[in-house]
Amino acid sequence: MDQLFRKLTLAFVIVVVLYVFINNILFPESFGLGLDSYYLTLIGKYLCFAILALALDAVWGYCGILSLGHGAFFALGGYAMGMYLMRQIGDRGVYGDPLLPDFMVFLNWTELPWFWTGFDQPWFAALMVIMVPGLLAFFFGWFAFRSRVSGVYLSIITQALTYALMLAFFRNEMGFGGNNGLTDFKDILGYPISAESTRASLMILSGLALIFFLIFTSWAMRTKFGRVLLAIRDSEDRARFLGYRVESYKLFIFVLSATMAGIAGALYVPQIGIINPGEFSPLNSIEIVVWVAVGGRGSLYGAALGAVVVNLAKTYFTGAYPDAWLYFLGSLFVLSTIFMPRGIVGILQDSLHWLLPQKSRYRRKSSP
Amino acid sequence: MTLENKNALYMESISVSFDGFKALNSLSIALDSGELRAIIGPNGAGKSTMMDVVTGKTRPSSGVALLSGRYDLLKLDEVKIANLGVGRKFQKPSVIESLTVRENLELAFVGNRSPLSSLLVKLSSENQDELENTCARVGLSESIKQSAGDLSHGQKQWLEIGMLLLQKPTLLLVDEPAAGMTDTETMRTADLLKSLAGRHTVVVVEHDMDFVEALECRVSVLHEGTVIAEGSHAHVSGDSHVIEVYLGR
Ligand SMILES: Nc1ncnc2c1ncn2[C@@H]1O[C@H](COP(=O)(O)OP(=O)(O)OP(=O)(O)O)[C@@H](O)[C@H]1O
Ligand SMILES: [Mg+2]
Repeated sequence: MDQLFRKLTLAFVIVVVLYVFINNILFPESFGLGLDSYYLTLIGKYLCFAILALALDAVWGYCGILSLGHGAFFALGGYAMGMYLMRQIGDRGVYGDPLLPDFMVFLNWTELPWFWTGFDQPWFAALMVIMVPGLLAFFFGWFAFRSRVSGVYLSIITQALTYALMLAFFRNEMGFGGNNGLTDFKDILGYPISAESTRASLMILSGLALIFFLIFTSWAMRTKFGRVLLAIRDSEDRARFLGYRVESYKLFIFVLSATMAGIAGALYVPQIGIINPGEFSPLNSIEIVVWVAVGGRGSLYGAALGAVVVNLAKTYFTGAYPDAWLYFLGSLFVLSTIFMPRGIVGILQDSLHWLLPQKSRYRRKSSP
Repeated sequence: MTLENKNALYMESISVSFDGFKALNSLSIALDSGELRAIIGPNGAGKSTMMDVVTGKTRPSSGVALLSGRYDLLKLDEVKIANLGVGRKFQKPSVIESLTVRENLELAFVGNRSPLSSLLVKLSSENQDELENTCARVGLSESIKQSAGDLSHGQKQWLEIGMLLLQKPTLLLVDEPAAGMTDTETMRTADLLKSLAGRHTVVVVEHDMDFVEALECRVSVLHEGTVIAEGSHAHVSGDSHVIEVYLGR
């Protein structure tokens, strides 16, 4: 039954991608059915958030690691992409410096800091999109999981991690543009970044990434690896006494998840056109948890659905009642935890159960 | 390590204290290879704590603990000890409730335990047969597709024993296996454990004296963290100290 909903979710994303591919890329003139930049960016953003939700669900839903710092990995991937886009500007900045981004000229810097070297190469930037979040997750997880920090304590230190990074990135001296962050991008891989066809391509790329990660994670969770993760979530000691090195499994999935979040961030930044330290805000990481909780923890496609549904609501609310959004988010979390502990997925499953009562009596599982 | 011996499990002068309270007080015990041993004693005597020490969950403040006369259990962690062939059934049944019976058994099946290999391994058909045989042996063939969370208390105990068997341990530590079982189930459990002796070394903790008698094995009596009597079931049930602290009540 979960299979059915997963396939429906996949089919839906594929349809959206194909629609945009046909009407925006293949025949932009013929049918006039192409989406405009506003909607392309909006959908692209939701798709990136869906990947991010998937990443969190892999660690939280399947392995019980409640990370309240996944926004940090997303932002780091975004910054790596932002640095590439900054260097693509070249001498077209306000100050016209061929090498230095505007904010460095403004700070009277004369040389490019060492950690900005290489970012003019797309392959290097792509590598960093994966490596930086991955390495941070590796070192963080190495210490945390080996010393058996778990539960609330782990959640709190992940939250502290993203907060510390936010403070650091706010500082001008760090060399990442301070509180303005990185923006005014001109082009990506030689294509003008705000052109409708570029927008469409980026959205399609985000959709393809989501499709890939949905298939990959659900495959991984159906292997023995996924079962060990569930064993760790349900009974860490049991897994350990069966001879599984719990900390290695946690580290493995945590790093994998962080790189997924980084890739989502890297796809997000060129579409939104800016990355600033606000992306590290602890609140962002908590929002991800709400998406997953609302969608349904531990089912992957549910997390992706949750991200889209909550962000649709956010788009509406921040337009209609900008001040009410946070209250809405809070109530949504509380109400969904109380009234739909299995999230949207739970509702879907129950209604299908109700429609087809004879089917799947034995599949009452809390996992796919 | 100067101590050399042939015991499957050898513990000497093991002491464990929790905030000054001595859960184990200079406990010594030795098991021959292939032996079946029952351990009895009142609540809080330290039976589960002893298993915690053997499996690396709790570190004693002093003493010696050797597996197969070679491995110093006090220097190894839980995972290393488990992979040396020490299997454990917890007092509180602990199976993975969100997985099916089959998936639980697959998880226990001996084999490479690294994350990378777990992404790629599939159980061969011989291993599947073995898994199904073990499942039948613990009486769960009918429920093999069921979610472990839906099993009765007794069935969970059986499943955990089944998992233990597939782990192919040399030393099995079985903590209160008969809890929550009917009399017939209890006796079947006793038969199963008896059939394991010889090929495995088995330690069984149990309160049910009929069950212990049915095991027909050597019995050690624990009280306040130390062994106060050891011998056949008949011998320890006649011991005046044992009657006073445990059986008499
Ligand atoms: N982690 C711990 N912290 C503090 N005290 C503990 C801890 N573990 C065990 N104890 C105490 O150590 C003593 C021995 O406990 P243990 O569980 O080994 O007893 P037992 O013989 O298995 O009893 P039962 O028959 O009730 O299972 C008890 O008094 C218990 O309260
Ligand atoms: Mg006990």
